[in-house]
Amino acid sequence: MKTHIITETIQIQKQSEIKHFDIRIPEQTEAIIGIQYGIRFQDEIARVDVIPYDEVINDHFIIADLRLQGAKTATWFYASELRDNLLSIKSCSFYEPAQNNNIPFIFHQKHEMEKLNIQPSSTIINGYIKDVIGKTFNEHISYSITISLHVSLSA
Amino acid sequence: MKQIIKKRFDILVKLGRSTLKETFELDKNISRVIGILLTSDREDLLYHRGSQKIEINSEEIVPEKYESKLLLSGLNVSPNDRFYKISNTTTGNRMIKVEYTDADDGRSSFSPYRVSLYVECEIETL
Repeated sequence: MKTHIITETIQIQKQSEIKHFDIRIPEQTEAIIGIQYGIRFQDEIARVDVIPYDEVINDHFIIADLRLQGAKTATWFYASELRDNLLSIKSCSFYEPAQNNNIPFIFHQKHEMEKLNIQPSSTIINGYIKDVIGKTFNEHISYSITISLHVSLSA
Repeated sequence: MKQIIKKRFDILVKLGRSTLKETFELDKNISRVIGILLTSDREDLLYHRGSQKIEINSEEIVPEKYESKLLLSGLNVSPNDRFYKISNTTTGNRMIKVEYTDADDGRSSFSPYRVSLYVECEIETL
């Protein structure tokens, strides 16, 4: 089976912002077999109200809501809350999160793709993203979300 | 008989917000590439700031903007599971092309760092 990865980056700049977007997939696509995402903050996220970010019990936040549509058999085929770790090595002592195995770049597991098995109805997948982290902290936080779709191709 | 070897190729990131293109050549006796892994001497910077495109033998393994954190393995992962397995890769021109991009992230500040690409390969021996 031949596989391919398609990436799409979406920018969020305002509190509660909603973005609609399209992801073009190759014509030879047989199925969407997996999804991954990554989040990059343009703003220095640790500057705002440092205290809640430093608590080890509260280092992962919901960043945004994601939905995708364009499958043959179901209109919306994917819905998920995108979460990420907001710990910054600048904003907390290394020792405390290290004790709790919480520093993502040292103690994380492998980033396997989330498995899907979706037959697309066309070569365009429609998506919807809604900001959550900006609403949580009641300010405009600017960040980008990169969605990676893994697809299988016909020979 | 097949032997498994692991090769390492380094990219030095000296400037923030930059894209570096590097080409590496595999040994002639390598018959197949079966896994890839990224590490760094500053894993926090690679994790938060890095993205890359990797081509092996002109076949795109990961596309542009594919984040480096998706090709990292932490200490919790067994050494036998750390590599990200790839398929359909036979070495033709034996070239590995890497286009690494460093970009700002609010959780990190830039200082020069090294990105290491580890490649798991098969060697055919008699």
